[in-house]
Amino acid sequence: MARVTLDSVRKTYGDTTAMDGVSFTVGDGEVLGVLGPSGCGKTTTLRSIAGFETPTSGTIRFDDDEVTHVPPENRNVGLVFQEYALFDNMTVAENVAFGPKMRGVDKTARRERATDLLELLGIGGFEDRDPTTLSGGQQQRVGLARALAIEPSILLLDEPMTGLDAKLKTRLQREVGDLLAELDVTGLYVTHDQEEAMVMCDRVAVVNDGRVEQIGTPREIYEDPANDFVAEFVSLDPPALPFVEW
Amino acid sequence: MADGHAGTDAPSTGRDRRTGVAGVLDALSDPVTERDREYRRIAALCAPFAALVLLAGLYPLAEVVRISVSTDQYRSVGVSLGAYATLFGDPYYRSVAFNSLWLAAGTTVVSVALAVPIAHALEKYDLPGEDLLVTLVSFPISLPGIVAAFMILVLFGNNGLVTAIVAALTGSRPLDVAFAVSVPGLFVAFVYSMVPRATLILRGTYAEVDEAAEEAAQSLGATPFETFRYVTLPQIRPGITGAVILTFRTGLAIFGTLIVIQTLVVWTLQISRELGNGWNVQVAGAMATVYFLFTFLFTVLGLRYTSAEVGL
Repeated sequence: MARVTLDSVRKTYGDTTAMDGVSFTVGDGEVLGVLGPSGCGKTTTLRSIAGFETPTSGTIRFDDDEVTHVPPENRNVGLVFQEYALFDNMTVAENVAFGPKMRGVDKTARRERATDLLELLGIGGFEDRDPTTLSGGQQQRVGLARALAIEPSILLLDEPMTGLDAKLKTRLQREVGDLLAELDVTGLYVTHDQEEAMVMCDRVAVVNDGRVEQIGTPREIYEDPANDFVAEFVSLDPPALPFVEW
Repeated sequence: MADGHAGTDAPSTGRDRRTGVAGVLDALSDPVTERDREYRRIAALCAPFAALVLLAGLYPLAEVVRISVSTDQYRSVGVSLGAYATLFGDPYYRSVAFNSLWLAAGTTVVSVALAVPIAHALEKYDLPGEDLLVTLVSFPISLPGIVAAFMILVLFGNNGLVTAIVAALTGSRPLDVAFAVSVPGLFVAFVYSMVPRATLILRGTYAEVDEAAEEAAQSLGATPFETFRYVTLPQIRPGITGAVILTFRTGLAIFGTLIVIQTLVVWTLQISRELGNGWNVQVAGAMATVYFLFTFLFTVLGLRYTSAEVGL
């Protein structure tokens, strides 16, 4: 895992500014939530770290290595998508083993790694299944296992719980949160769901109009919002927040 | 509660109905349920096409088959398989069939191979002037084969533009460089007509490719080529199969181009010659019948391997 630093990253598309001088650091082993409304630039931030967008200006570093212009396949970034994005032409195990395969890991070793990860994520025994036959929650676990299989420098999660039913979402939030903490993964968790960000992340960056309005622990964000936007955006019923005692 | 379609494949409910075809006819003449009325709407929508198929499709086809086994050149009388014996027994016709098959197959392979990167570029990237590019790529579809052949002459003929440029660059005589009126010229003319058709099918398939899966592959370390090989290609395979079916059938059907570039005798050109030289209508009918059966069976078999919209 690595420390990821964005320094004054700006991304424009014609007259539209998607990222306007975004700066933050995700510490080694930390999960940073990027929270904001639709169209605020959070997905552009994630895609810039993954390498699918090149910033108009500014730099991105993994530890001390600048990766601003490094292509996605050379960044060692794990991506988990909202819509799972599994390879339908491959089995569950082949999905998970795909990254190691691209890195030249031999067949037995990558199969073993896939089996271990699937076991870790509670879907052992599904190795030879067609991923399309799995439930949404199971598919998302496969997506997570696939991303973790390359031992990424950073794990990028793009609204991974959206679309799941409330009960499953709550369970997955807890399980995935525990797993990320256990594996000491450096993660960037993009979401528009305040509660999810507060529950899952060590710190949260609240983004609006391409700018970071505030970065802090969930408690800091909740108890001491930097401005009206943050205050309004994170206004949650206290029972939803794990750090609020009643 | 069952939805409106579940368990209502057979028309009726609400009153006693007959089953099977009789039931459908019953539902059409006197609809009771919404499903019955749906049957009626479907029947009304399809009726004009059904009439067209019957009158302009099945009847002429039956007549062609009848002509092919007629014992008389100018009337459909008697039954003789002589024309078919000629087709399958005469080495000349076998060579014509072989010419058709290899030309169609070869141009199909090249056309689809060219169409894949074109469709990839058009669908995966925001290209400057994309609308113009799409128009240029699809333009040959609207051209008659005879015009396509003429364009090949203009480019690669004795006085063609490309011929002149290549001759000037290499110091050769234009006559030695020109290849429009040759089998390679015919091949290029076929490809020119077939690439847009293949591209059309493939673009439709590309529109359904899961781009997130492609990005997932890249983030996992796959190069753009590996991403294409392992993720994109399996997804566009139905489109490739569809494009192969469509372009191969087009390759077999092209005729106008052959009028201008008559360097290879293929099935369609030979049918024309049978009718033009001595009104050899039985052999022409047999050739048309064999052609129809071949393309029909080829398509039926091909469609088992694709969901692309190429149909029959």
